[in-house]
Amino acid sequence: MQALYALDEVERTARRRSSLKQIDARAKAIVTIVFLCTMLSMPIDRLSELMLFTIYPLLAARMGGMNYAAMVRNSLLVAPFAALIALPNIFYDRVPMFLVGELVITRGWISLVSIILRGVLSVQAVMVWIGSTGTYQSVRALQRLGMPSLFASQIFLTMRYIRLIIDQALQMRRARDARSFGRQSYPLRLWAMLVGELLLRSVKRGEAIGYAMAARGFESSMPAIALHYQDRWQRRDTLYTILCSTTLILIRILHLSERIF
Amino acid sequence: MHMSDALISPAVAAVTGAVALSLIAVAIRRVGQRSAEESLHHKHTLLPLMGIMGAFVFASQMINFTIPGTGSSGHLVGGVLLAAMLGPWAGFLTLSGVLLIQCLVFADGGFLALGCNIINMAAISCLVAYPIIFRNMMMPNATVKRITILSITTSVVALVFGAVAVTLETTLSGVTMLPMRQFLVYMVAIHLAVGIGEGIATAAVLLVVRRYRPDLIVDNITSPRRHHNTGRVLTLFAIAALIIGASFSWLASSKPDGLEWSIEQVSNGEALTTPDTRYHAAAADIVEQTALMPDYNTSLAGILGSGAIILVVFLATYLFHPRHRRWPTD
Repeated sequence: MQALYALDEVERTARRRSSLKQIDARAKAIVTIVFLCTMLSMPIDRLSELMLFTIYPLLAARMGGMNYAAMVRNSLLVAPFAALIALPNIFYDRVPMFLVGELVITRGWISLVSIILRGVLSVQAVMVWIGSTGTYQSVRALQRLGMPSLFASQIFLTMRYIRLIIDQALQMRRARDARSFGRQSYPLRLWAMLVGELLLRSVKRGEAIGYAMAARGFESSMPAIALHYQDRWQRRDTLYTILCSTTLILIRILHLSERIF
Repeated sequence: MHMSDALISPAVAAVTGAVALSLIAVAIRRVGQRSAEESLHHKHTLLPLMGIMGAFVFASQMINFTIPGTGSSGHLVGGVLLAAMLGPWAGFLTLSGVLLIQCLVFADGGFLALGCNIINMAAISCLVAYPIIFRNMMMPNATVKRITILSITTSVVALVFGAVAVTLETTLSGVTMLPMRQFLVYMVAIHLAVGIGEGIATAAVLLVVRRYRPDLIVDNITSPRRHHNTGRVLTLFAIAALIIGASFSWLASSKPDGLEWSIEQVSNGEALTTPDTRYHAAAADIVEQTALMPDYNTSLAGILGSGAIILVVFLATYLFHPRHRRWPTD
């Protein structure tokens, strides 16, 4: 159910009119990649400089009319796993960095916060891109940037069928729940029958769809170029790409926080 | 197992991304070739089937099963199942697509870490573990026991090797200060348990599919398509074990082991000396005469140790391997 909500949320946000939505999906994809490369190449003990990268998702979310607080909440979901991997740094890296009152802050603590921030910011960057573009247009943009058509077609079909199959799974689970008096999970034998049945129904549907698509002349992949108005690259897209990329690269190489503070 | 962008460096992302892209290119070519060679039925249904199987992997993860005796529950991950139903390359491509959607829509795994995730989850399960173990050791009309054991083994190997890959990528990225040996131990231990659950779930679904739609399974669970090749599997395992033994032996600690440490504590840090009696001298002489590696270095020991383990496993499988005639053939 959460997956359906997440999908709906992404598409609903992407349908809103905003200045970021006007930008070509390819430009946003390129800027996202530049953001990730510059931000992740920052050494993990340079927390202050890493924090400057928060500017991009913050401004982009504003441009896209997205709720940044909700975005922060959702992006924090990745924090536990990143923190789990980074937690040993506290014990292994005890080099003192600075004092907060009487409290000595070690490099291990800095790297822990830094790794969590890297995870959160990278998720936010992808959220900004997808949230202002929509999943279909985003994959379309990747296809136009060089992703093979067969792979892109397979992703389109998967995204299209996710709703159908999840809906089917929910129906089956609801039917089972209605007879199981609040049980949350099932014995393996029953689970296998449920999932197996879901699989067989899915395959049957997939075969029917395949024949229907073949009857309409579908030949194994979707063409890369579609005559959509939004697909045309405009001057503002070039401007957006250059402006954002240059700023991000400058933040990375000039060590701005050291110079400013 | 989904790696976040926070755990990798751009250099590791670039290398793994290049490898993943190459594998995807090969997979597309192989799927295209297969599509051209297949019958009209398969030609038209392969791509929609890949799409719908990808969606099925999503949906099936919403239904949990109880893990007996633990009080927890698990769900299907899908790599081995996809490979068994679509073939290794089509399964790999489908799972890669699923990983991309999970990354873009559900923030599950990083965009820059996509190459790592494709290698760790899709490539290792569909292109390494499945063809080497499951497909090679499967027999025509295999028993429930055989399908279950092979599903569990394949899933465990896929997840454990995936966990090893995660450890290597994270360590190479220089993100964690945790010593690689400890990190590896934690990751392998966790994924060993997850692999067993995944294997049981895969076997359960495969058995249901075999019962109602045996034509959907691409490999020889139901038909005598090719004879199994245990020798090839053992050879591949032998090579893998030798490589792992040689390359990971540098991880062996130069610090004393538990027993040595305890003795050092008892003797206040002084090394114990051998009493100078003729019995001890005779015993030491025998040990020197019979020891395989009296003054060994760790890499050589790794290779020889792996070789010894392979030999033992080979002998065990030879001794306890049931006769092929026990499984009925068509």
